[in-house]
Amino acid sequence: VFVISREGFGDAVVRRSVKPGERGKLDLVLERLPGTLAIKADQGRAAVRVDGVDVGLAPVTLSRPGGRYHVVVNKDGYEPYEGDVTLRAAQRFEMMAKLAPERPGIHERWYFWSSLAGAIASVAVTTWYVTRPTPERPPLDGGGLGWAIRVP
Amino acid sequence: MRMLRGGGALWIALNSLGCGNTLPPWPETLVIVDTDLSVPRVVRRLRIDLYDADGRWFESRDIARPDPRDWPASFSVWSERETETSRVWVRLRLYPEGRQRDYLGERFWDWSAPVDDGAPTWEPRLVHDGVDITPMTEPQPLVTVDRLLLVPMSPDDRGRVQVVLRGACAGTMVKLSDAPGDAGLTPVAGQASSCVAVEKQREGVVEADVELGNLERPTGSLQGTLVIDCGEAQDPTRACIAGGGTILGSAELGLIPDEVPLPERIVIHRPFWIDRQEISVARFRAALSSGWVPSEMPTSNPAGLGMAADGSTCSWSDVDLGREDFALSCLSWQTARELCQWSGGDLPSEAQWEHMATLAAPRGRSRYPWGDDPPTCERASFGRLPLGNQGGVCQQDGIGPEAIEEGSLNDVTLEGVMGLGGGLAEWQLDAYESYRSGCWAASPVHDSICWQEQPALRSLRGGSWPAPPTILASAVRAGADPAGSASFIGARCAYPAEVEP
Repeated sequence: VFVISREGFGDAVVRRSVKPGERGKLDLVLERLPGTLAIKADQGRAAVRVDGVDVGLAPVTLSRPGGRYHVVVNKDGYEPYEGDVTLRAAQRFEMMAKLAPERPGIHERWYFWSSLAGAIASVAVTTWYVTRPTPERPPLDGGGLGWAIRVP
Repeated sequence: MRMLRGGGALWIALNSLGCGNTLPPWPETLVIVDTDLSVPRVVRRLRIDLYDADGRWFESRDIARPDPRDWPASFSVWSERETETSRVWVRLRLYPEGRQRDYLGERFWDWSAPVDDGAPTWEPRLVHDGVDITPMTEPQPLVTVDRLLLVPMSPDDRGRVQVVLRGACAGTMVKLSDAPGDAGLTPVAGQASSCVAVEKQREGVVEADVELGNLERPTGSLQGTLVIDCGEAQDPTRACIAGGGTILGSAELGLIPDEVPLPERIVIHRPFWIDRQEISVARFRAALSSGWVPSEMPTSNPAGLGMAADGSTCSWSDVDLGREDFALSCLSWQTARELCQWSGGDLPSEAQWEHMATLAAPRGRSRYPWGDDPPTCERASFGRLPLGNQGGVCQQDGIGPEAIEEGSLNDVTLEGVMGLGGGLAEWQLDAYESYRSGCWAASPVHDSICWQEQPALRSLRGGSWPAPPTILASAVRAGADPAGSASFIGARCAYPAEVEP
């Protein structure tokens, strides 16, 4: 019985009878062992994509050959969780995706629009105030003689 | 828009916040001035003087308003005080063109005082920014309607004050204060008074009633409403002289210094009828035939007309000598008056006579009964006697009186009154006194007359056949012994018009 082992590969075992003095060729095939990628999320029903392929909802356990993988965990209302994983053969890698609640953009903030509206209004009012006609009084009558005599 | 008192401040605040683009009107009061005197025949200038509430003189204006359509005249006073009612004294003086005197300071004159120019005080003064701009002249008081108002300017709203400068008030000066001396030279509340409607009477000046919210200027004027017609004519020998105001006297007759008819004054007449011609010999004889008996007969001239100003040129004769169409001369004032009264009238007053003899100028007073053209021998009967070494101006046309029709056809007024310029001088009802006398000071504005029961002299008006041309001016006055008679003195009668005043 011939057994050949290599890290990351399964043992190759060949049973062969050999006569003394016999020379022969023995082909052994080592099969690479997969790693285990376990992806969890702190929020339920988060979609998991590995190298751009949907692999299901977290938690999900994948068996993959060793290598580097790009993992993205998405859930509505949360910021996407992304990470790169280097998985070795026969290794179990566990990833916990902590999804942070999605933060709205500044333009979605109430005070953004309020401030903008206020600023626009201020500009408009200031512009009007600066450029408005000087408030005037109705003209003095002055009568038929046209004399409006100011009394001190 | 009517605002609450003090609303102006709120209005301004709102405007500063951008809540509007208008401000409330300044407190303003429109002063509308009208008169019942004729413009421009009697008055045509308006003097306006303003004093602040403390009595300080701060404004003086003077303007000609000679067009009747310019009346009522109006102007406004306004204040920047928006939270309280402010007030201003407004003195209005309406007077004829050219009737001004030097300003020597405020000189109050009352009717009961002798007419004089008063002592100069040179106060008050009108000063602007340290510069003395006091007017150099002021209206002559006797020909001026003088009125003082206390005009408020309300912050509530603008409005108007209407005032009528009535002819009845002519000659009654505003009294600014009861205080003597310099303290009496500016208006004082509770003391100032002026004539409103009744001649020679003053009323205390109170704050004028303002019609708030009304700035309308009336288009109709009262000016000329004193001119009242006589009504239906009943006797073709009489002409109607419409009532109205007139200026009695004249400053233009300086060539006759002893008889300068000054000071001038405004007088107002009711309408009256006047004989179109002087009383003729025929009329006197007809009255006698009707049974009328005079207390004294005219001087009789039994001969033909002579060529001297004596009895030889008297027109009356006891029997008809062919002078029936001559004006009756050589009669006393009493006889003339008796005939007029027997005829239902009286002798005219000087004011009536001058009024009718100055109506020929449509925009003023005429110098002569027919107008302003100088007298000519074709116009009137005058200058028909050598005076001293001088020949009569018109003696080439004859010496002595002439028949009424011959001498007065062109000496005629617009109303058809003949022979006022020449012919005979005419007895007047008045005593002959200087216009500066107490008699004239006491005379009323309406139907003015200087009446005395037994004066030394009675007035004569009008030129006469021996007179030089200067005497023909309508304002020329003369006097004569009422008991005397002369061949250049005659008369005509005036009759009251039966109309409501």
